[in-house]
Formats: sequence, structure tokens, C-alpha cells
Amino acid sequence: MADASPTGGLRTTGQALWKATRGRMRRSPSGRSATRGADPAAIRLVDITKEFPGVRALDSVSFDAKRGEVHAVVGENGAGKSTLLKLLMGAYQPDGGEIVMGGEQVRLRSPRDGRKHGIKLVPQEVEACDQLTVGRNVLLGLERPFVRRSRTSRSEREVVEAAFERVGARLDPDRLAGRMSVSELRLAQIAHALVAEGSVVLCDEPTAVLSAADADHLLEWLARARDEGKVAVVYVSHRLSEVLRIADRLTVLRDGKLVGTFHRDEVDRERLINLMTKVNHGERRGERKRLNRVRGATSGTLDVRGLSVDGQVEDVSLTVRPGQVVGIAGVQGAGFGPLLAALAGRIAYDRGDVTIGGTALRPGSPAVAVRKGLELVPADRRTAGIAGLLSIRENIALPVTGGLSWVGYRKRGAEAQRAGEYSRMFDIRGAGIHVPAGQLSGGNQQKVALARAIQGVPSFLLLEEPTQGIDVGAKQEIREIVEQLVHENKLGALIASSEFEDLIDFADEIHVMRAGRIVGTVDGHTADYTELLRMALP
Amino acid sequence: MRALFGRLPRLESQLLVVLVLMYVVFWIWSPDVFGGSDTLEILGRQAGVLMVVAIGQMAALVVGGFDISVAATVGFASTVFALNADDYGLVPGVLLALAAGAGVGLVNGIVIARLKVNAFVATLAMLTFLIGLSNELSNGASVPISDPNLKWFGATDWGPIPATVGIAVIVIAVAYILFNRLRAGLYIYAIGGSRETARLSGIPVARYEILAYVFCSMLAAVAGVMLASRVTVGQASLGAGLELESIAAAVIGGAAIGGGRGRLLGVAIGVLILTVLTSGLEIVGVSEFTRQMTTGVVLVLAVVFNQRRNIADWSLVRRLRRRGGGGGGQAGPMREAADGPANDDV
Ligand SMILES: Nc1ncnc2c1ncn2[C@@H]1O[C@H](COP(=O)(O)OP(=O)(O)O)[C@@H](O)[C@H]1O
Ligand SMILES: [Mg+2]
Repeated sequence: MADASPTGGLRTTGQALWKATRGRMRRSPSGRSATRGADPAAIRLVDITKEFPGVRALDSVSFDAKRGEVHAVVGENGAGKSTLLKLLMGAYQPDGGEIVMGGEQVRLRSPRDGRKHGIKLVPQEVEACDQLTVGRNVLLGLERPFVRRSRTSRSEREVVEAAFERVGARLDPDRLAGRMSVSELRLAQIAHALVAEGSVVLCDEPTAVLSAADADHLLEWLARARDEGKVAVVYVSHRLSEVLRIADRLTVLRDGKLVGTFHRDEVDRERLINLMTKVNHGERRGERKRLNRVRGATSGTLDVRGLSVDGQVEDVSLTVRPGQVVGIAGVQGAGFGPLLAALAGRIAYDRGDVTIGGTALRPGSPAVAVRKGLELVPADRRTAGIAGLLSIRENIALPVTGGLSWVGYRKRGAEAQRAGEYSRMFDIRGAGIHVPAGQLSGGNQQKVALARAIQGVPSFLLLEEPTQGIDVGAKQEIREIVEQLVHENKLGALIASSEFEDLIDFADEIHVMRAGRIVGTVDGHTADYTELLRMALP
Repeated sequence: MRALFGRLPRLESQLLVVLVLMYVVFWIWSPDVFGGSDTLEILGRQAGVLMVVAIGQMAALVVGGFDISVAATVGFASTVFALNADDYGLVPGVLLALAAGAGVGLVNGIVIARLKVNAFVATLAMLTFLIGLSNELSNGASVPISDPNLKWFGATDWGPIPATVGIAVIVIAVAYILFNRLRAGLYIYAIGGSRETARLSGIPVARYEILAYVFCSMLAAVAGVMLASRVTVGQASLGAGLELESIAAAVIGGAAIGGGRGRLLGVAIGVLILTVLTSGLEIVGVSEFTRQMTTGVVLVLAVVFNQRRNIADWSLVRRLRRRGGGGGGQAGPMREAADGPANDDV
């Protein structure tokens, strides 16, 4: 590339536009030379605490990012990485601690404040205004007072196209964002962060939905921006190799707590993994009470043949027998979400046959699936796994097949008894069965979701990302619960997960999914992490 | 013809076809009435008021809410107008009415955008509040206006066209600039499309949301003046029915409840469709009750049709794909795009 200066080149291209929108992009206080010498950090968090109902997402965490460095933040799901970035952006307000920029304490009351201080975020969520053009999405927040909504002017177009070139996207700025693919939208989001002026760039899993080539391009660009020395980059990713490739420093979070900040030379892959995961799972709990009510095993085998869902699932066949755990390993976007959703009747499938014990399960509605004995515990736990405003008791009583009502009349005594029974068995720790489920921690919510599913006396459990965003202790407990259901109550379990260690040595058989297809099947007891990963990655 | 349709967006072309077909049906039904230009003029007069209110409603819909206090605002503005027009003159009266509308919109907007009260509750409360306030101001009576120049605001003709049509055209022009040429309009669409994206882009979301409601209520106030001019009184109940009709017209025209979508041209055609339908039925002698029933049915059909369209466009499937996983996600705001496997290795 002729232009050796990644941000500088774009800056000149977009000069005219920026001049015109000068008022919207005030100089950040940290840009003042008087204060810059005092603190090398472009932005610094001091003892930051952030709480959500039932969970302390960040617990007295200190963090800083300097210009001219890439500072990576790593940790398992739910460790608090996104929360940290949103605090840096001003999207969340801390419950304790302070944010310092250029030696002065600042209050970031909104992302707008954050932008004024020169902070920009590529959020974890791939989201855009579908009804606006990509160009408009990229420039959002930077427009002059008079703009055409449906078209970009020549100067705007130049800025957008220059930004697209940086991130390696080939997109027409005047196409509707709603017509874009996820990775295209992702690149547009990155371009969006790029065109705004600023000295702190926050990237939350920017590459998760990108192809390897696009991800590579992005990393290269970030490295060059870093070498220029004008921006501080905070980079969150699950891909440790990426992180190790570009980070100068790494901060490890675990369950909202700071494990430590390290220089690149101090850590390697193994060490990072050890730091991220808790080693001690604690002792196994005493024998649980047997779940007598659970039916299981009565309806034969779940058989899926040639299932396809509009471009997301291609010709998938698998079998789940009672008393068996079948795993599906894949990275996010591999298509196991739609696969499970189709089996559970949440979305329709185009082709294929699903039978249970020989009788066909017709596609269509969750009600049919539940009646046939299929219960899904979905990944979107907070919105679909539980009813957040209902109490634990009411959540558990939800399934129509649970026998907790008589001609529509609720048997409240039985409900309370059943809920008490399940929360003891599952060890749901909360203030009692009358607490709204939405206020529980992730792990406890997941247990409520499981209890609710089992209360409906299923023969097969479909679990999607069952351990996502929950702490290691709860992970272990959930594994034990499923183990017991499968071995003692002879349920069949189909577990789809992007956390392969959930499946290894647990599932009897692991199918690896990639781009909607099953690309390989391995024995769950002898499966190897890296081998799974090699198959799962595009 | 083909050239015209080729340039129109698909929905607008379809709506235009519906409009023309509907007119043709009425023509066949009652050729002597619908053949004449008088009928067109009557329809124009009818459509003008609804056009103004529906365009305001569109702003509230696009930003992600709606306003069911528009009819009450029409009545309130007409009362304010009538109470002041004879004492201070028509123009100051109009300005006061517009200010009253702006005030209503400001309160609606602040309650919805800053206090986070659901738009339904906020504007329902405003509706009953305004009916009370208007009656309080007018002692429950209608307030007559005697100034003969009043007719220029909606009762008479401006040269060849009815005044209501003239005002509606001006409003369309202003709305066109807002929605398609101003940053403010763009932000209203952005907020309705994805509030979080707008917020993270540094847009002062609440401010522009309030602006949308102010625009909506001010246009309702304009409609209040138009109606007062037509009946020469100001009265709390003057706009009765317009809340439903304006939402129906906007939704028929492609504005979505939930925000982010809707085009001015579509809404304008939606207004014409609804007007031809209701006025047409009136002209051919269908009872008012039947017409009310028809409006209800048409509203639901329009929503169903719109949703079908939306599903076809950006389906649940697409959302699933975006999250890169998981079960259906109609409900709930933003989802996590992706968490790669922990300890991933590339
Ligand atoms: N808006 C929210 N409301 C309630 N809990 C939340 C919210 N955002 C995050 N959490 C919780 O905070 C914790 C940290 O989440 P997050 O920062 O998203 O983790 P990460 O990005 O490291 O996966 C999790 O337990 C999560 O469930
Ligand atoms: Mg995250």
C-alpha cells in the first residue's frame, strides 16, 4: 500500500468532512500537552466496580491503555470484558472507582461523552440501522446538518470508501445495511469506528464473525495504527493466537476480578489459559437426590436426516439415543443455533426428516416439539430460557406438560413443592423460590432454565451453549445435572457448544459443525481440543 | 407509466395501484358521483387534515413510538386558537396554537425519552389530560371565531386549490426536508432503526426523540387550526378519530410500529387510500358505523401485510445468523454477536 500511515492517510481524505463537522468533534482533554506528560495512559480505570442484578460484573478492576500500544483483554465468557469496554466508552456508569484521562478524572455519562473524549467502540453486537445505507451507518454521528438520507455525497463517499479500503471491505456505500451479511456489517462497524476522530479504539471481539482473511487484514491495520503511536487500542478476543500476535500488554479477567496485567513476553498460550480458568472446581457435591419424575427413554431414538435450514444448516444427519450425550462442537455462527431451533420448532426447516422412535416430528411449532418430548434450553437465556419477571417457582411451573394445573387451574401447592424440590436438587442459590428469575446470576438462571425444561418431562434435552457466561463452579454443577439425567433417567441430550471443553470427555460422540454442515464426528472420550478446533475453524 | 413505476419503490407502486383500483371501483359503483371533479375536490379537502396529522404521526412512528394524543392535541390547539384569535388577531392565534402543540410534544417527548415511560401510556395520559384542559379553558363549550379571514386556513380555496390541500402540500414539503435532507431526520430514522447503534455513535438520542414528538404535535396543532377554520369554532373534540386514522394511514403507507421504517411518499399515498376508502363509502351511502368497522379492519390488514413484508426482508433467520447462533430472537434488544470458543486458536 502506498500510504504508510493508516490513520493519517484517511484523515487527509476526510479532512473536508471533518472540518465541516468540527463542532461535533471537540478536542479531547487528553490532547492538551500540559497534562499529557503527567500520565502516560490515554485512559485509565482505577478500582472500577460495576454491578448488575445478581452479578458483580467488575470487581475493583484497574486498567489503563497507552497511545501506541495494543492492550488486549482476555477472559472466559462472562468474565466482564464487554462490561469493561462499555465503561470505557461511557455506555455504562461505574458503581465505584474512577476513570482518568490525561491525568484528570472524567465522567463519561454517555457514549456521546465518550466520543467527545476521543473514544470509539466496535461493540460485540453486530448491529446496524437496517433501513439506512451502509454509508450512512459508517458516518453516523459525523454528519453535517444538511444530509441526504438515502445517498452519500461525493466527499462523504470518499471518506467511507477510504475507510472501507482500510478494513478491506468492498461495499457500495449506498446499499441498505439490512441487505448486508453479518461479516459485511462487521466491517462497516469497524469502518464506523475508524472514521471518527479519536485516540482510544475499543474492539470487542471484532473478528468473531470475520473470515480469516478479513481478520488478518484487520490485525495488520491495527498493528500499523499502533506503530504510528497516535492511538491506544484495547482489544478483546477469544482467539488467543490473535491476541498473542498483536498485543503489547494483556489483562486477564476472571469472574469480574482482575487476575493481572502482563507484558507480551511474560505470557504464552498455556499460561494465559491457566490464568483465565479457575483450576480448582471445588469438591464434587454430595449425591443429589434422584430425579424420579423424569420420564426419559420411553419414546425411542431421536433421528435427524438431511435437515436443512435456509442457508444456515446444510444436510445435517444425526442420532441421539436415550441415555446418550451427543455433542455438537462449532464456533459461533457454525449453524448449531438454527439447527437446535429447528428441532425445537422455533424456526421452520426446508428439507429433511426428524423422527422420534419412528414417528415423524413435523416442523413448525415449539408446542409440537414439547409434546413430543423435546425441550430446548436456548442460548439466549435471559430472553428465551427463562421469564425474567416471573419467580423461580412460576418459571418451573411453566411447561404445559408438567402436570401442575388442572383444566387450567394452577395447583399452587404442587407448584411450590415442585419448585422447592428442584431448587434443592439443582442447588439454585437465591433468596428463595419467589425471587424473580431475572435477578439471579447467570449460573442460577441456567439452572432455572434447566429445571423448567425437565419439569416438562422431556425425553430429549437440547442444550445450546449451556455454560456460556456462567462461572466455573456452576458449569461443573450443570454438567453433573445433565450427567445424572442421562445416566439415571435415560434422557437423550444434544449439547451444542462453542466451548469445546464442555463436550470433551462428556459427550459420547461429538459432531463438528462448520458453516452449517457436519464436517466430522469423533469419539467424545478420546477427542482432542486442538483437533476439534482445526475441524471447526473455517 | 412504466417509467413512473420504475422509479418508485416497490411498496409505493403497489400502494398507488391499490389507490387507483379503489377509485375505479367506486367509480363503477357510483359513476355520476365519482366521475366529476367535485368529488376529487371534496376528497382533497378531506385528505388535507389527515395528511397533516399522519405525517406528524409518521415522525413518532419512525423514531420508534407513536402518539395517540394527536386528536386531543388537535382539539386543544383549536381551543387555544379560538380563544385568542378574536382578541389578538389570527396570526398570533395561529402562533399560540402552534406553541401549544409544541408544548404538548415537548412534554410527550420528555416523558417518553427521558423518563422512559412507554409511549402508549404517556400519550394516552396526555390524551385525557388535554381533553380535560381544553374543556377547562373553554368551560366545556365550543369557542366561536368571528374573524372572516379565518376561512383562509382551511375553509376556502387558495386560487385553484382548496386551502387544506395547499397547507398539506406545504407540510409535505417541510416534512420532505426534515426526513430526507436534514441530519435531524436521519437521526430519527437511526434511533428508530437501532437505538443502541445511534447511542454508541454519540447521537443525543433523547433530544432527537423529543424532536420527533414535537414535530408530531405541532402538525396536530396545524390540523387543529385547519379544522377550526372549517367549522369556525374551537372545540376539545374537534379531532375525534384522528389518532386511529393517522396511525392507520401511516401504517398503510409502510411506516412500521416499532420504528426505523416509513417513507413520506408511502404515507402520503396511505392517507389518500384511507380517505378514498372512508369518504368513498360515505358518498355511496354506507353508514358511519360500517365505515368505522372498515377502518379497523383495514388497519389490522395493513399491519399484517407490513409484517409479512418485514419478515420476508429481514427475517428472524437473519437475526439468528447475526448472533451467529441460537434460537429465535424476536424479542429483546441486542444480542451478542458472537463469542468464539474460549482459548481459540487460529
Ligand atoms: N446489561 C446487563 N444486565 C445484566 N447482567 C449483565 C449485563 N451485561 C453483562 N451482564 C453480566 O455481567 C457479566 C459480565 O458480562 P460481560 O462483560 O458481557 O462478559 P464477557 O464480555 O467477558 O463475556 C456476566 O455475568 C453477564 O451475565
Ligand atoms: Mg463480551
